[in-house]
Amino acid sequence: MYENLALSENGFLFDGRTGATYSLNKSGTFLLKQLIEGARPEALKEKLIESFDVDEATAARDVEQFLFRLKDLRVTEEDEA
Amino acid sequence: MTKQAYEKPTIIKHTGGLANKFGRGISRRTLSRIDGIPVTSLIEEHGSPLFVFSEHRIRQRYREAYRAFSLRYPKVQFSWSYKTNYLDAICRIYHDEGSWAEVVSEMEYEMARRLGIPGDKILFNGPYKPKPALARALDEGAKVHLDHYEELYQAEQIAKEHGKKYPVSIRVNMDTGIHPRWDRFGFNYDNGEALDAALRLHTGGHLYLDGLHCHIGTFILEPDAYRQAASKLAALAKEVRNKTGMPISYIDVGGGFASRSTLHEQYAPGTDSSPPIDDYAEAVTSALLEAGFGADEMPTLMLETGRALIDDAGFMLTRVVGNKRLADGRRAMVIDAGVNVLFTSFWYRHDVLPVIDRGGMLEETVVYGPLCMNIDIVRPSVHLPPLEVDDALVIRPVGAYNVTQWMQFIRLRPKVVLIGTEGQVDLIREAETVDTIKHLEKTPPRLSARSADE
Ligand SMILES: Cc1ncc(COP(=O)(O)O)c(C=O)c1O
Repeated sequence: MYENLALSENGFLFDGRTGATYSLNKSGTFLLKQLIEGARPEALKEKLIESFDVDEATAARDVEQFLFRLKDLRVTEEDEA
Repeated sequence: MTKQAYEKPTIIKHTGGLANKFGRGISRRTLSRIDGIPVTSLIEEHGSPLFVFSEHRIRQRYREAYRAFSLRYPKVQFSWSYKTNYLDAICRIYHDEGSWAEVVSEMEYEMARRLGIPGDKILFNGPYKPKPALARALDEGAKVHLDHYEELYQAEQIAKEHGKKYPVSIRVNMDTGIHPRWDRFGFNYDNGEALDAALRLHTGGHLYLDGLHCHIGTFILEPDAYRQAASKLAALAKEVRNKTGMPISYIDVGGGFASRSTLHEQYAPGTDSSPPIDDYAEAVTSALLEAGFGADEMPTLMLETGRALIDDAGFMLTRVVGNKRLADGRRAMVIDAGVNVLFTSFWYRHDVLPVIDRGGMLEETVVYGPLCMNIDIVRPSVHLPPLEVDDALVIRPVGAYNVTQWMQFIRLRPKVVLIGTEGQVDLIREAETVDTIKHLEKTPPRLSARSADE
């Protein structure tokens, strides 16, 4: 699902399918990297809390909004088979 | 393992090339203090939104302007343009600096009189001066600037009724090479109407010409337009002098110098593109000096500068009330100050500066006010770092026209404070309450008998 995405350490993202490029901040890069490496979306909140200084409510809200944003930008859109 | 500092996860799509988004020219700026006073403490004490004026800047700008003109010309008099900002405390600072008052209605005239300004230090402009107001102004020795023939006849009539001969001035409009040309006010120079009015005024026997006035527009970025205006008024003054034998006592070039604000359509910020006050001063005074008035007949140079004196002395403190993502992907933000109190947002690209920047990516953001109205946009696009609800922002420069053109619409108007030159913070206008709005209303008894919950 993520084979088309090339994400660099400093948050530059290239989507090979669309040719679009993006910038992500540190926490955004962290989350997308988890997804690319196979993490399930439901596990992202815990991973965020483990690595960043953030409370649970904020992490839950921000992960939800970030996932929505990825879908909205069609970064995580599933290919229509 | 120590955890990393957190910042809300963000992803921004690049449009139109990377350089546009993250290229030079987009800098991270914050503003945490005004005249040394922390913005957060001002908000803690007075709430938000909050208008803040700096007495230091008001006095500093006035002195710079006065110096620029008085170094170049022997007789200079500024008159504070009331409509630009007629809060009593603000007007008093200008009067304290030596400014007279420039008013455009009987309401503003009364405001100036209540502050103790004598009639002969009030310039009365505007296309409508009701007869009682005109009579009072003439009687109190105000500098009345006639706008059209009907007003000239009315002034003549009043002089007859009072059995007096009054000095009056005329407003003149003209081509100064700029657009739009404000030809709806006063008598036209280029077609000879202004000379005609000046001569007509003398022949009636009840009035005589005291001065010539023009106000060629507002936010004029071309100092040369003022050179043309001043030289046309000087030429007119000399012609009237030749034809009537009477010199005029002043030439008033009005207001209109650009402040350091930035128009929406301007590319560079106003701090870079607005001419310094010295350029305007050089243009006006050189035209007057070159006109060749006799040493004893040099007219006083009057100025009615508004926005250029006060704009950057005014700040709006506001807070974030919500973050949004629009359907087209753009980031948006709702703040607690809208176009109801920032009327000038329609014309100017105000600076919107966070009080603190916790880092994170800058992203192009639409800044909306709190009104439930589509037009309530404070900045259509500005690069801001991530901000949370309740984070404070400073919007500037907002000193000109906002506290006079603000609307009582949907929300009540907020407090206004003045930071004194010693760092004192004084409330100069209380926040409105529902009573402020409702006390003028009357409900017919037949409608007040029944209440909604019956
Ligand atoms: C007659 C007159 N004088 C002075 C001013 C002040 O103008 P500004 O604020 O552009 O300096 C105005 C504003 O429109 C005006 O109409």
